[in-house]
Amino acid sequence: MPSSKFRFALRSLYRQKLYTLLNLGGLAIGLAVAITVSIYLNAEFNFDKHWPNYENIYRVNSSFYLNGTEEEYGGSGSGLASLMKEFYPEIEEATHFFSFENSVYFHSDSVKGYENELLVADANFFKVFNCHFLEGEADSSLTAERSIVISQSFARKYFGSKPALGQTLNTSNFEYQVRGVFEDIPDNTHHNFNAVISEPRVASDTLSLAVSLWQVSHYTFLKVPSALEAQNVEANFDQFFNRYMAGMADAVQAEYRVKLQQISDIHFNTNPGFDAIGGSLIYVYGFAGIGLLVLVLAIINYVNMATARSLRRIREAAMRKVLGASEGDIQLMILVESTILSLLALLLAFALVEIGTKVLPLTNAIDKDLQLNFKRDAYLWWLPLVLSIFVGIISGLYPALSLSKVSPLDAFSNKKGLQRQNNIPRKLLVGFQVAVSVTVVITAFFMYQQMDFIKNRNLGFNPNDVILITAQDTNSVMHLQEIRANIAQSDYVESVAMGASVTGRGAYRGIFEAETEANKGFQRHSLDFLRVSRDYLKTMQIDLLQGRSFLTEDEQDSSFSYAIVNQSLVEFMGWEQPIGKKLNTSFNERGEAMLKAVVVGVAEDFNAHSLHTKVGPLVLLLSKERSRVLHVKVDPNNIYVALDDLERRWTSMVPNAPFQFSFLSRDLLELYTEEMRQSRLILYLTIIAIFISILGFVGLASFTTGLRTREIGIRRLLGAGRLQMVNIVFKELLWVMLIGVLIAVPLAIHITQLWLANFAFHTEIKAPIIVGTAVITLLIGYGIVALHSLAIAKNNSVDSWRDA
Amino acid sequence: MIKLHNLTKIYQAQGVETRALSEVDLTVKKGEFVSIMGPSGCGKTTLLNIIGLLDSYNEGLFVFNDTNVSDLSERQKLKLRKEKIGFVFQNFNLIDDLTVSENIELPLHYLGYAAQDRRQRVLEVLEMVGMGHRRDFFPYQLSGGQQQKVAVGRAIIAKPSLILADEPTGNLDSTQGNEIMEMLSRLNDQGTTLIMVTHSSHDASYSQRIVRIMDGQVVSEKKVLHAQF
Repeated sequence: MPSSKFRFALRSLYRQKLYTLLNLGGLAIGLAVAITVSIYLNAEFNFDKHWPNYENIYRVNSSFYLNGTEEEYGGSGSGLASLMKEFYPEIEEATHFFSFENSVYFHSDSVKGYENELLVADANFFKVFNCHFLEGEADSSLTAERSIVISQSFARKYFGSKPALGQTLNTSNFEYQVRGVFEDIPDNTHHNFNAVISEPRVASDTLSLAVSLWQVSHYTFLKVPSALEAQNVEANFDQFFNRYMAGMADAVQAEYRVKLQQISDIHFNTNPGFDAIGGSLIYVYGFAGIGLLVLVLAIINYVNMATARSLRRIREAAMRKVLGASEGDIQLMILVESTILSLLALLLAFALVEIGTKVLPLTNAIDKDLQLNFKRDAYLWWLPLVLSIFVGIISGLYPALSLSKVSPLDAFSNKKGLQRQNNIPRKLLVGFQVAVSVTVVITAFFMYQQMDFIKNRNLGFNPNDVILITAQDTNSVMHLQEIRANIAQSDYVESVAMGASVTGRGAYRGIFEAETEANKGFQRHSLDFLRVSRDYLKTMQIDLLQGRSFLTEDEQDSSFSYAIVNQSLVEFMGWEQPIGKKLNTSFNERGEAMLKAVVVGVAEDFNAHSLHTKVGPLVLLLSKERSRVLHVKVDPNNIYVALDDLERRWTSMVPNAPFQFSFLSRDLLELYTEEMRQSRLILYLTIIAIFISILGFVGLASFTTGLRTREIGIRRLLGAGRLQMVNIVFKELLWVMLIGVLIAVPLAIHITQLWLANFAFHTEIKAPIIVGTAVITLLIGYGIVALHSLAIAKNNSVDSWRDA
Repeated sequence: MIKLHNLTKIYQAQGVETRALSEVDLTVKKGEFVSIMGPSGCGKTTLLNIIGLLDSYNEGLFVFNDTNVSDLSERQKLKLRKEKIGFVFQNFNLIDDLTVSENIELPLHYLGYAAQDRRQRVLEVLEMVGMGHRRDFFPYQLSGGQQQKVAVGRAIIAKPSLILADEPTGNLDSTQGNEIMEMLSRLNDQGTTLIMVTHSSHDASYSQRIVRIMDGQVVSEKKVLHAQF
């Protein structure tokens, strides 16, 4: 019997190809989305849990206290790791590292390329981070200077199948020896790395180490026996502070504390200052919620359609009863069939996930490595399996119960389906689907609009046609002044400025003494600042409100420094006469300011940080030191000619250094990769949700029109027009859709507001879009109903009322 | 085999009482072939449903094979029905998704026959109804007469002692109708009791006795003279 049941189920599926395609397809897509989202969630919630003993690995975060305000950093000073290891016997291992901001140009004998995710670490790195070494010895791999330890894929890229150990890798400045190859580490690692370079050995005394503790430059990680020791270290930090930091603390009137953070905790709890980009619980829960919604939509849809279809089998059930089937027989038959169907959908779903993650660019779109790996993640097969059996039973339950109660007498009647009154629960479910789809569509629309808003927002400076040239190696940094002078002569260049960092991607933060208005002396504040060269305002097209820009003479003046402040700073300080005010910064261990600047101008506010942050007080310091980044404003009509010219000039000055450039406008978009990724993901899910909802509505429409086939036939016979008939059926579905829309609108507005709250600058929620979405939804519904009713009306009306 | 005495069936719909059957007396002996005739809505089908243990009655006595039906539980009625009664309908009522042999086989599933026995018995019945050459066809691929032959095959596969036929030729042309009537009367010759509801006096002429019903009451009973055979 089971085998014949299976055969019968497949046969009836084959006969109703369209139904099968819609219903199985819908459920399969829902399951596929849920599986994909669960793989994503699993990766997110297991960040850094792949490290052996991850419970015992802690990062040392820094807190600086100044004027009663606390500033937190994920990083810490370069001396902290070695001093703490020495001071606390309970610390088993300590290491520190920093990561390269930019990509680095590498070449082996035959291969060259740019690499990201490089760390510079001390020799203890692999004692804390237990990578699996394929070549070389972990413990000794970073002891020698100019050592590099690379990942397996890194090794494959540069050395093919040959052993990499002992080979050399060159950058534009140095030659490195490969001292080890480790198995690739999973993507869900907060401080991800493809290669680790040994840090240069600098002889340092305790004093210079102690001074370094006040500058955040490295990430420090500790390995301790248990959480208890981590608490002890944090609690007893006073003793460490008194020994190494108290002297300097008095001079700058600041306090310093550490907070130990377990490594697996970092991803969702990154630090506001100095940290790698982390994850966001709001987003993750958002995805989980949307994934769940799509799944629920698909299940509701499936149950709906399966129920609607099964109820057409009343005659069959009645006949089976006449022939001796008991209620149990009928129930079992329906449940087996529906479970087989849902299991087929699961198989299809796994295939879809494979296609989605391997063939389609889904992985790229959300920038995550998603893999269906049953061996690693056993839940990936048993959870969906349990779920689809559950869905099978749920979808079979109502038909099984109602069909088993069918009277055998119905075999004699001409009933073809169930009566109309049983339609209400199904309508409610479809109303829910409409609500979810409309919510998702509206939310997605505003997310897109916000991304558009970011792209086109006036930042206070003009990033268009600005090419950034970054000096990667010391040689080009040393010659940057000459390079700037050379480039400025180009016919295609409108203006050039130097900066220590990329405009719009954040600023440095430092302690300043600022002169007060009414000769009340100086106040200490922690302020954002940028180091720039002359022509900076001109190149970036930032408006000057008062005073003057930096002059060539300013740069040559060795006795004094010059500063331009933004409007917010003027308001913050309450300056009435900002020009000529003094700003001191860069304090030594005795608390004396090493840099004294005078304000020469006031600039309009601009977004030095991303649009997630409001514009605050900012100091532009004229830098006489070397900078790394050239901002070159080029002729917008000749961008590519200009690039060629810039490269020629660069190569003539520093022939061995690679010419590395980027477009500022594009670099700024990288600030929003997380949001872009989200809006892309939302787009996909929106399409899927709309698709599934349309399926559901088609199901309901065909069910409703099917029930009224006879009525439609009779009305047609009596001379009803086509449109009138469509309206009759649509009226019955209209309130379902209206309720769905009414639920969706406030929900969508609320979700959109939550999302937009992540941006200090954001677009507005606009009523026409909401109304438009609602109207389009109703129109689509009307279209589907029209197609169905017209199809019935087109058939011979005599048949429809005689036999219905 | 069947004895009805003072049998009454009342339908109640929205406070209005309709007497579908009123004090019906009817006796059918084992091996008899009885036709029930009467105008539409007279209660013929209701009577057939009650005899087929598919419907209940309100008053009177119904004895089936010496058992008082009102003493039987639903479960016992189900058992009695699947073992003793076969049904043939005007609209055939074959299951669309099953082939000819699967449709015929179906009652044996519910009687719990082993697969081997089922196959054997299906082959026999396919031969009897002359549908062996169409065994793997689906109902929609067959003519009406062929479908009704399959339905007859399904009715007899469990070797019931009683076959109830509800206008078995109503959807067939006369040639096909005659084939079905021949088949039914052959079954009757082999000892199966037959009760048939019909509008057609031609079909009724195959039976031994005609019971006429009007407004839920038996109005006449007469023997059929088989002069032509």
